Amino acid sequence: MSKVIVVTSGKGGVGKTTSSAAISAGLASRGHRTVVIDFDVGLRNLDMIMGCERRVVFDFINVIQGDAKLNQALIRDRRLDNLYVLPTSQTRDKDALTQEGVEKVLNELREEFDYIICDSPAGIERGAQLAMYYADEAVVVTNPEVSSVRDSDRMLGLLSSKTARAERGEEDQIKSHLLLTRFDPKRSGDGEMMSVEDVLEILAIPLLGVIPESPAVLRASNVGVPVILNEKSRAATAYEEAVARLDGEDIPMKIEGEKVPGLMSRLFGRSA
Amino acid sequence: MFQDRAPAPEAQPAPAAEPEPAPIPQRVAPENKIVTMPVRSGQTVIADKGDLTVVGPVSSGAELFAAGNIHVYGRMRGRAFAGIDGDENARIFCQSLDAELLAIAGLYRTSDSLGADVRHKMVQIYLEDERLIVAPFG
Repeated sequence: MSKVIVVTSGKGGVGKTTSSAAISAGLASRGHRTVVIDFDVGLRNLDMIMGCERRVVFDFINVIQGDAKLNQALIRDRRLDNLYVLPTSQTRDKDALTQEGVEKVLNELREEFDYIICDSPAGIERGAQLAMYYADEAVVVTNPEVSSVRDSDRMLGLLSSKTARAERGEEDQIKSHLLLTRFDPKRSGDGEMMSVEDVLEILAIPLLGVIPESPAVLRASNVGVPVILNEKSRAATAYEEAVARLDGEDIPMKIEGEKVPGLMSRLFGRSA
Repeated sequence: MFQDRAPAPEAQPAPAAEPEPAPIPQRVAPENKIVTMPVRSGQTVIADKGDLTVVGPVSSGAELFAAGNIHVYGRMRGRAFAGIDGDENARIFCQSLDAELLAIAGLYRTSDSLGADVRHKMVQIYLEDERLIVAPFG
């Protein structure tokens, strides 16, 4: 059974695309057939982070509009055999996305892939809404900082009301996970940043992982390699563990500089 | 003198003079609303015919409206408007107060005017002499 996972945040610049790249590479290296789709029409970035920008011929919008077949637009990753990228258009805008078109492409991908990762644009407009609409699960990327947390909370509200699963009814709601990125244990300890517990208390969803602030993330982006596949770093390890949890593995949470709070283990336990 | 029996029937005023008794007004149960999920930033919950009870946190940027009382069992960080049809007896109850704005029958207080003595406390909010009182329990 394939899963559609949206990576979203509301606020821009928190690490959605970096996380989408890392998560999809992580799932693929665990042996799952994985595709990652760029929903940020007009601000095409994912292909650069994945290092395949020179190989883009057709894109997501071409497929939606029937100008190209899905197979022509999918780009196979050079490092991992079972990882594909569906890039978006840089010349069009979000209005080129249609609900029927997105549904058709996702249904076609569901037949081929185990995991379909949707890299959402920032904001709450059309692009973001269509990225989440058909999702089965959501990874909400949040920085430990008040505006990011509030925007994430807004996204969680939309996930529980403006998606296909929400509209279908009570039972199988979207499963949302929190991915805390750019976390600096020292600044959190000093009270300059929100703590993991503060964020969890407000958002009240299970924690998928805490990614430490690391220069390795920027280096990986610059060379077009997902963090997880680049040099060994603390951020890469944290992403690997988050991906394993997303894949259903039970890995205890360790956060540098913080003792695991009771609330967190409670919330994490609830995800099972 | 005590009377050990009911007064004689003739002592009662004659009811015959009254016309058809007016129909008893239909008692309508208030339509209360219970929300058992977190109320997220940007969401609005309205109970326009009764009380509103939220079992879970209410985030900053969320709004609660009720014709009657509002109860929040969880951290209350949003905005609450009780007695929206003008009921000055409506109250707001919070398990842990951190609200942006509290209003009863149109009279409001913002977070700024809440003292540290009531913040994060279990409180009730009610109107008294046109003033919004925030009173901790216990």
